[in-house]
Amino acid sequence: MIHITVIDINFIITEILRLLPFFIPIIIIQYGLMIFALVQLFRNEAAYLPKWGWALIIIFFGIIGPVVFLIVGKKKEIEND
Amino acid sequence: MRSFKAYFKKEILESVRGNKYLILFVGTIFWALMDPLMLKLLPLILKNYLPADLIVLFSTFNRDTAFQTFLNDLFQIGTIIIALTLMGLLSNEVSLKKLVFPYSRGASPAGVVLAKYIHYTITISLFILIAFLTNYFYINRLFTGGMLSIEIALKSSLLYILYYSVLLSILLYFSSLFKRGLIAGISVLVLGYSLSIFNQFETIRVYLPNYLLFKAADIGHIFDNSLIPTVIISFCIIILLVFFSILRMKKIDVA
Repeated sequence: MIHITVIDINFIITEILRLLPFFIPIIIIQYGLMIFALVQLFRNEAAYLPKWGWALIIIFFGIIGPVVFLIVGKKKEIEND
Repeated sequence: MRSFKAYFKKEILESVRGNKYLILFVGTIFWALMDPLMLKLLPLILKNYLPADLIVLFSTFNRDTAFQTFLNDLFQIGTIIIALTLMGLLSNEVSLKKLVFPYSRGASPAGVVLAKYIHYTITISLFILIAFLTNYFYINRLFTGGMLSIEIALKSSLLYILYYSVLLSILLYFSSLFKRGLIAGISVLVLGYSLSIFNQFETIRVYLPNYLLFKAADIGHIFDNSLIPTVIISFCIIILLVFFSILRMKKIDVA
């Protein structure tokens, strides 16, 4: 049987707050890249998937989603150059 | 020399336009930041869900093991991102007929290939160096124990830079062989991962570039005599594959 006590939760929260400054660069990279990829998606043609499909991948697949879109999804734009 | 300079500038512009710098930066730096934090937080979050003996295993992490975890993740994820981002290095130039005009104006294939190789080697080396220094800073702040130092982190990064230079030369050569970049990218991934298996065989591993990764994680004994054949062979592979890529680009029908 798993028991999560109030003390445990408090300890985890305290620890997360202590580590918060270390998370700031990660949050900036993650959300910065997500916004950048979404802007690129709506400004350019998308390859292989409809735009809404890419939007879902970018939003829900963490850091991998925007990276996959920028590698694969923007291909058409590069090919057209 | 004119072709080299022109293509070097073209690669910089194309990398900016194709967001390749951004992808490579994220692909290397993100794990340097994320890995130490995850190692620190996971035991706390999973404390109530895992058996006590597994939690004890988590608590034995020190600076050395945290650094080795980063090296492992950089190899596994970084290699995928590098291979898939740069898979079309030469194949895209050929399949999209981008070389017709430069070749007709007298551009040298050697200049084109060298510009691409040197440009991306410098880029990846710089990002790997930044990733190692960032990871060292994070590990130093979050973990204690172990013998990791800035000198060890820099030595380790040098071996990773050499390994990725070899991988890039293989990617460049495969990219000149296949018309579809994806085939080149996947071939490099299969080769890169499968060669790691040989790290278990002491007699063979010193002759393969993946031994560089093995030694990079061998904190305390990174630079020793066993690396000499690996480094010599790695440089030979780079020179040969860049040379073969140039030969291939000379013979290829760009029209």
